Amino acid sequence: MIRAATPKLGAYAGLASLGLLMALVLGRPELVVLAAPFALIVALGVALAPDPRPRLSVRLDRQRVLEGDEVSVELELESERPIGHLELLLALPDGLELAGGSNPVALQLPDAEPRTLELPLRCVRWGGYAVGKTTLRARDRFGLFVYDGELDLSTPLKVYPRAEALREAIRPAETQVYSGNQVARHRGEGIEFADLRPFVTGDRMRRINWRASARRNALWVNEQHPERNAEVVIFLDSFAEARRGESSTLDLSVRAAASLLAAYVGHRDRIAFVSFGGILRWLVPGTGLTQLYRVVDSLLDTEITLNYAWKDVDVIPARTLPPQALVLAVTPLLDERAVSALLDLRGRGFDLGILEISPVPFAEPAAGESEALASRLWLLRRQALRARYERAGVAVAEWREGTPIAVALEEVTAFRRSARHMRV
Amino acid sequence: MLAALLVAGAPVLGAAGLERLVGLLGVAGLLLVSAALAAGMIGLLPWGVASLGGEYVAWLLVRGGEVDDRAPLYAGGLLLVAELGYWSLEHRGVAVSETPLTVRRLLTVALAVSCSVVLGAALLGASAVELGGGVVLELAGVLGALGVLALVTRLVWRERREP
Repeated sequence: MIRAATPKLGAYAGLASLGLLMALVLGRPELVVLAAPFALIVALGVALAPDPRPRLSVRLDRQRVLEGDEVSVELELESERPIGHLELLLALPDGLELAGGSNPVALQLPDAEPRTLELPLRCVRWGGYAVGKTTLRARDRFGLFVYDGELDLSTPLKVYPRAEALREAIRPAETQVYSGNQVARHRGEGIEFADLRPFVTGDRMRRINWRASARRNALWVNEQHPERNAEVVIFLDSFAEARRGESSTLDLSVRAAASLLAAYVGHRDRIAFVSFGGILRWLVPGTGLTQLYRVVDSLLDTEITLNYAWKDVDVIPARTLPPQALVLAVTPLLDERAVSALLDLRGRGFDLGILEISPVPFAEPAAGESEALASRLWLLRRQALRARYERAGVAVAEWREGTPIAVALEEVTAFRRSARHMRV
Repeated sequence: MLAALLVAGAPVLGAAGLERLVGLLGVAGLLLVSAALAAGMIGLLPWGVASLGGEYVAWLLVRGGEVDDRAPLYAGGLLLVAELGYWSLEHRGVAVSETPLTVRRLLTVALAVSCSVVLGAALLGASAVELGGGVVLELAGVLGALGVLALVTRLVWRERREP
């Protein structure tokens, strides 16, 4: 710890000096009496200045929590020598707040007895945090010296976005070859009935539909849709966000993306992730809970990075966007680069759906006639953009905070029933 | 503030004429201490304490005559003003202190003030001892005072330059 003199040391020394000098000049013993306590405190303070060496360990009761949950930080302080006055400040990153207790706190460390402090923290916002950066300040008995130290005992804490449970996710137009929960459009071995056809050599007896065969006096067999898995790419637009206070479109995007990811993993689909913005991040498709955690961990690193470079879909590695994959874009449709990249993806034949995280609630209310006009024009432009996507066969559903994501997804599904065969 | 008020009021209590005028220094000291506490300006506090001390010195000079027996009490009062003032300013809006810590600090302040009163009384007692006087004793006293001054200055200087 670094020792530094406080203003009190200089002041007391100055008062003592002044008193003694005046006593010499004026020849009054009372002035020595006035100066003596200050001189004595300075002398004792300097002579008895301690050398505090506190040791600190930081522990979190959990390292993975959900947004809104509480986590407890345990700070254990120990010192070989007693410390009379120790101030402790645990640096809290934005997104974590104190749910109880005091921070900073002043305490004393008696001889060789470890002290344990518990600070409950509320995880307000999703993200990856490092908790444990602590500033310590000890004071001597007379308050003449301070001893400052900083300890970085950061422990990682991951706060996952609170995902909404979705019963039904958007069904992809095409499925892959592995078995899964999605009913494929083509026919083959499966459970879902598809059609009837005449028996041909090689058909299995169990597939014969005896009722239909009896009516037609010929053998007819059932055809089924096989259950296959799908590949879904969650395309997160991180070019720009609309923010108001603590909430932003990026927060909602991450929450929506986490909900979609959890739903598709539940359906045994392969999921991939692309964060398209100032910094490009991607994860190649995979399946299972491991992939879900991998993608969600990647989601936690998502942030808006200001960048003016033009980017299109060519910068995305090809294996991240497998053919016949369903691309679900989660975007506020604010940045022209993301808008044109999505149109480009559609132009390349990808099955695309857009979940628009509406920036409208984040816009300041229009004050005055000209601002109201500008606001109307902006809304009209956004409508025109949506119409442009719809003309290209891309479903766009707007989602706002407070409404279930399932409602927006149902809009996309309803649009895709009639628009899935459109080609551009 | 209460301690400062008592210290400022003590010399002028029951005073008359010119002795009352020294109260102006006390008022200045009170204002400086109040400003330091109100605005959180720690640099003003020693000036306030010095002004309160100055009031007492001025009162001593105006009054003249014998050694004042109340000097140890006045020294204790000044120390109390300074200690409480620094305590108030040091912990303003910073860490929340635990109760044992507050009690410990309170005891330290009480002990320091009591010791200063005892020390002052001892010093006054020593000054009253008749040693016959002379240039050598006077010189020893001056050298002693200067030695203490130099020692304190050196210690402070070292601490401030080499933290």
